[in-house]
Amino acid sequence: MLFTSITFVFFFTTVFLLYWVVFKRNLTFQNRFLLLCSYIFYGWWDWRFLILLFCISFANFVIAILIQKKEYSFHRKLLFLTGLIINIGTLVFFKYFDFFTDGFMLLTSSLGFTVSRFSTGIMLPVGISFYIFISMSYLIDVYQKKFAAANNFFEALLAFSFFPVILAGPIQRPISLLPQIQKSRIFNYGNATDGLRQILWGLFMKMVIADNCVPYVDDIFTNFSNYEGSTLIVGVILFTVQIYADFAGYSNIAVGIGKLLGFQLMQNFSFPYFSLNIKEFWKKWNISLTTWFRDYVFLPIAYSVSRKIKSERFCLIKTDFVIYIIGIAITWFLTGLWHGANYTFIIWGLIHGFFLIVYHLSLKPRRKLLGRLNVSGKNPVLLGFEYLVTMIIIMMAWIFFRADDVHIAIQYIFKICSLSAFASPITVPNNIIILIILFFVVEWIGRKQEYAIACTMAGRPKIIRWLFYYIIILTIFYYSGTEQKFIYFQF
Amino acid sequence: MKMFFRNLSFFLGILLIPLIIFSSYIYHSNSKLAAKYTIGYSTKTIIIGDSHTQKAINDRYFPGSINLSQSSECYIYSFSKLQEILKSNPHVETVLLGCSYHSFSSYYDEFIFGKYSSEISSRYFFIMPGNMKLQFLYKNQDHISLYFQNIMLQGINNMAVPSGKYSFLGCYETYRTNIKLTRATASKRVNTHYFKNGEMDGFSTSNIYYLKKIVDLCEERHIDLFLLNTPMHEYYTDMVPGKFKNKFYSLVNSNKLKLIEFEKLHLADSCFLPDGDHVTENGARLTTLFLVDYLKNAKPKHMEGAVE
Repeated sequence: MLFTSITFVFFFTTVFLLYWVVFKRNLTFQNRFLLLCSYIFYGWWDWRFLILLFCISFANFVIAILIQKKEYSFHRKLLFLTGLIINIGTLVFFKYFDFFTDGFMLLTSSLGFTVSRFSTGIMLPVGISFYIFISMSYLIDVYQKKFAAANNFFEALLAFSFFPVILAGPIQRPISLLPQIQKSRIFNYGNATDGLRQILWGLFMKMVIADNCVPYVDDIFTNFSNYEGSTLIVGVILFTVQIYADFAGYSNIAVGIGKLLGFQLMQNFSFPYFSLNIKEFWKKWNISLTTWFRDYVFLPIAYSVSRKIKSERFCLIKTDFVIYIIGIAITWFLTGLWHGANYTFIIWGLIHGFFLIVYHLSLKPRRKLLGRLNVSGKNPVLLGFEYLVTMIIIMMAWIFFRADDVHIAIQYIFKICSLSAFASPITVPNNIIILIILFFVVEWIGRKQEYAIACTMAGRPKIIRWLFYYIIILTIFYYSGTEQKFIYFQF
Repeated sequence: MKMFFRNLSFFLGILLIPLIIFSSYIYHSNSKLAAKYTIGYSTKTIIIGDSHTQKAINDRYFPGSINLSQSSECYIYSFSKLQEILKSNPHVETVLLGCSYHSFSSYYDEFIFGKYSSEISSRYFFIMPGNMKLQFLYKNQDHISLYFQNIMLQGINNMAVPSGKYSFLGCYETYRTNIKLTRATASKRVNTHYFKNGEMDGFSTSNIYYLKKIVDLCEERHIDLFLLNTPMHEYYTDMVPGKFKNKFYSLVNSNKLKLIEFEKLHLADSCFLPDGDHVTENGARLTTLFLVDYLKNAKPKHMEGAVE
């Protein structure tokens, strides 16, 4: 049941009406109803994976309560580690087992041993990376005593499986979702209309922008060897647009649905393609995932390394830098791996990690150089150049993200760097180009808001506002391409 | 909350009411089109089928006939089309139905409820029975707005064009190309028709079922039905899996159908399009003349003296 499908429209309309009209007076009923809807929504993909979702939720609920009850740190730690093993083990088993087996086989065969291949052949449960991360954050936060474990089983279950976010995020941590579940919700006109507006913009991003890029991107990446370098550049630009419109579109719809149900979910994108450097980009792209990795991977690693290195310098390098490099390298290796069991994702993550380190190391020299040249840090030419470099890095990394394997990605990049990059590329219909340009213009205008059209029409007469929304709806109706799954569902 | 529902209803009403009125108008107007469609009284033979007959029979060389074939037309569509045409044109005496080995491959099912449904079924939407319309809408729910758009565009187009150009009809059509027919180009076509992901296709239950319905319809109306297995190059026919050839002949025999084949018409390689299962403009001329000659000898009543 995709957010963009008619089935979901009927599903959500029913949920919304029952939720606010029938169950509005009783919080317990509301929560249990939402839990039931979340399980129906998730089970719609494959009901068998509901068992897994339930078991993971149940295990985390019980372990969190036990952690809270235990006084001795050893017992707490043991329970916490058990919880982590259950979560990570499940993720590894379903998502990475074949990948690690293949890696192991490659290693053994290079050492001269022959091992027969073993594959689980199990389908990847949709959204597993998301709900496992939600569960893990719950366990970690309870262990770190940041908040109390939920006593109500149904409320905890809802926090792990809330349907707007279970399939592709945002990774809404229970520390912020559970208090909202526990508190009675009152229908708010402003929030509801804001939610509808955000859903509308999300649908536009997904159905008009992302889905219309798909045929070109798929064709170019599949048949890249038949195309000139210039066409491959068009392919990577379109994929850059597609992945943003797809994922940010999904997040907008999810947050919008949350608002309609009286929840405030976290903003997952903040106009990342207007970033001037890679660090800024990662503050704005998939915020829920980057902050998750920052809080639960990078900071603990940095803390642990800093406790081990006491001196000011380590191998002639400042200890701060060493800590940063180790933390970033591990974090970005894992971020890449989180996206999928493929070397392409790992390389994608490491490219970003590498350029984050480069950026970090270049901050001081840059300041000194600009000072010597007497150039302001806000010089438009300089900013334009930095923006261009940032976008090239991002796009180069997207090639690895999109390619089927590393070999293809490298060939793709080589072809872009050849003379054929100056040949005339394939033609993309003008209407699609115009729509993409218009989309980014609207995004630029609304870049200081939560989403592009949040307040664009605020204060204008109703007729103008409605006309604007009608234009978006009709554009969606007229230009929507063939329905495509959201890219992040595969993760 | 009341204000929210009131405003939302008002907002959607402004959008949906004109859309519903407009769609109803298009639907209503198009539903009557097929019934109004008449072909000249002197036209006693209609040719129906997919791209094979569309490209092989040029009705310019076949007086008293009209080619209404259309590419990718499955028998479910041919049946509905024939039913509607025969209602408003009771003078039709002969139906030539395109039928070949590929007609019974499950590859055809993709045009009904499969991935090409949106594009193909929208052409015939208005002439399909009500329950089929609902099924088409249901099966295309994943891209319902695109499907709805296609239907509406076909409907608007039908109202704007002359009666012979309706989306559910077809006509003789061909194209020219510099690409030569080779074993490789024919093989590509065979793969499309009979294989999917490297595995051989099954049979199309829908096409088998609706062939029988077409036979029954023609019998009921005392219409001569001939199956046309239009010329195909040996590059193509040699590669067709035996299973489909056997099925084809067993269906023809079990239904006691009159089959016209063109094995005696030896067309040069230049008379074939690169895929090997369609003929060129010249190929169509020769095929049509051969057919006319054949039918003259077969002597259905109305054909006597038809060819000058």
